[in-house]
Amino acid sequence: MLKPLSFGLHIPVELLREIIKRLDTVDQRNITLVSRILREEALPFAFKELSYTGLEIPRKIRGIHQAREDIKAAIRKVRIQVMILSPGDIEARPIIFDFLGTLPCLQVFEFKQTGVLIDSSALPQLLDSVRHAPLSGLLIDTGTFFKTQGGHHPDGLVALQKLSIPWCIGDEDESPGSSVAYIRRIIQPSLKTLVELNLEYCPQTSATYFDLPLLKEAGETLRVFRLTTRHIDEAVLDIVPDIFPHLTTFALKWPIVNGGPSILWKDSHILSLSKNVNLQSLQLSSDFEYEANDRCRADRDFFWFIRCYKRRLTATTKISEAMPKLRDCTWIQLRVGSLWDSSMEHPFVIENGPRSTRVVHGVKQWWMGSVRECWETGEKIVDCRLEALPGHIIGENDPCVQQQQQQQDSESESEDEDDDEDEGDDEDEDEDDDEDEEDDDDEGEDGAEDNMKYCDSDEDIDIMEDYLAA
Amino acid sequence: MVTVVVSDGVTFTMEQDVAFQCGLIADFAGGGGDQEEPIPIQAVNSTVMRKVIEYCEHHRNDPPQPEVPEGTPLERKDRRGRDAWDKQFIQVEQELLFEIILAANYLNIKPLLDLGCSQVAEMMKGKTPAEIQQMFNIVNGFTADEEAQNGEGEEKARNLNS
Repeated sequence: MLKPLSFGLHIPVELLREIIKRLDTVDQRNITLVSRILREEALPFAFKELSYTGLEIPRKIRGIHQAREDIKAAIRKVRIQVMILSPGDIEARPIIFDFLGTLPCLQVFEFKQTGVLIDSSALPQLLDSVRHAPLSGLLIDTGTFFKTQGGHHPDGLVALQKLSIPWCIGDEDESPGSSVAYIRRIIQPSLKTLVELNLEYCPQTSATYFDLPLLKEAGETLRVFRLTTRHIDEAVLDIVPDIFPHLTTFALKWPIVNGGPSILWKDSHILSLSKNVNLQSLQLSSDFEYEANDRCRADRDFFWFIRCYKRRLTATTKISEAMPKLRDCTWIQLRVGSLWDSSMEHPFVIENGPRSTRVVHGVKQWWMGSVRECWETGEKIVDCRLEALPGHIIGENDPCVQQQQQQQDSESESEDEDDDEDEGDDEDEDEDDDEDEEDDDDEGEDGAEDNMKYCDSDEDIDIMEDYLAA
Repeated sequence: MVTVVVSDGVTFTMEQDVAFQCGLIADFAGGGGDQEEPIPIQAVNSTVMRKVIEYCEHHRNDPPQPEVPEGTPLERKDRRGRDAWDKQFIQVEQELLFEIILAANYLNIKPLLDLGCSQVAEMMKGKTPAEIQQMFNIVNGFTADEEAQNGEGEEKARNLNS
């Protein structure tokens, strides 16, 4: 179909869209005011995703709430992240429910908060406000509530394909109306449609147990399952393939409870994992160091880092032989050195080698790639060069990756040049840039430090010392 | 060699590696040897065809473009291979620019289409709606009510979200 861009010039709609796609969000929003035709074509791009972070979120939402209906009809995804509350935010929060209730085509809604704008008593309203929409993805991270505060517990949303719930309510109560019953009630209506479920179940007390077989109904559709549970029980490794037989991605994280280790790795776990016959991606937080009585002696005990890496390489090699479809395996190592609530990742990729063999590659971590100094442990110099480490490490020193890196560098150079010319890019893009920077940091030494929180209370230090002593 | 005849009757003869950058011509010729009959290109005139051939000749030795996965940011897609020559090449009158885009679309020359669309987007970047209307000679077509709404609620909507 041809549409006139200007007098005498008709261009196909798909070309008009190609042009609009190349504009940043601010410009896309500007051209919705240029003409009726450009508005029709640009609205779906310009207002497809809205992201609200920072201060005074209800006030910002009031602005968009006053917009025309066609703008609201264009909104597909809303992401709200409350960091700190501003005065009047609580009183003004109904505007959020009103706004969400007027979005007819909302497909994805993500709500995260660290400052409690939506407490557990308001959660039913939040869910009700998006109930009318054809939602396929929902992330609800309402933070830690100590009690569900009674009241009305609504049903969850139907027909979701993707659901993420970090759920930290801990009332130790399995009775109707308890927090466990509440979370089940949220998941239940979508069990037959869920493709991806991220369930972070970490109540204040580890006594509360989330009974996974209750989710069995999702077995036919579920492909991605990420679970964080404080219930230290390796039986979950057998339960998961039984109830979700078609998983392609599985992540299981056992946070450290009461200063103890995460679940201890055993080779027998391989048999349980191998029952996930379609699994391509695996992530586990199993502990290898407790059994080996191998303690980290300093925050930068690079010899220890190498030993931790080697143990996981060995385990990955065994797993790769038992799981022919597995392509990547990442080990989350919890609590590194004296750092409380810290973690590091040991990623591996797996390829098929000649004659049906499996080849495991380590992926370069921030501490790899050079000779390092470690004065605290007495060894002084630690050889962390890639060629000195086992596992055919890929990463920056891999020729393919190097080539990609060079290409990216040249692109970013040209982007920098362009960016100098266009000051005042939209905030969405700025956020993306920030995310990119964070990603880059993760690969660097400084980034690793950023990811680690140091002990900040005597209690934390005591717990840490108990753990190390054990 | 491949010969084409365009809408105003002008005939162009070019080498195969130049001509086959146009997906349409490559399909027409079936990837075979020299064409005896000129290939009719009815949707493109000689002025535009000259520009198209200039572009294809410059890029005749470029390696084939890798498949860009769906979802790759468009800016990154475009910047692959867009050099100073391209930037200079696409600095043309507005009318010719749109004709090049249409021709690239018709002849199925993806990199040239990317280049043209990016150039139009570049021209729109940072402009107010009024400036864009003036630049492209666009009549907005809004009703008076819509105009009023554009000036009020939407201003807030645009500025206060995200």
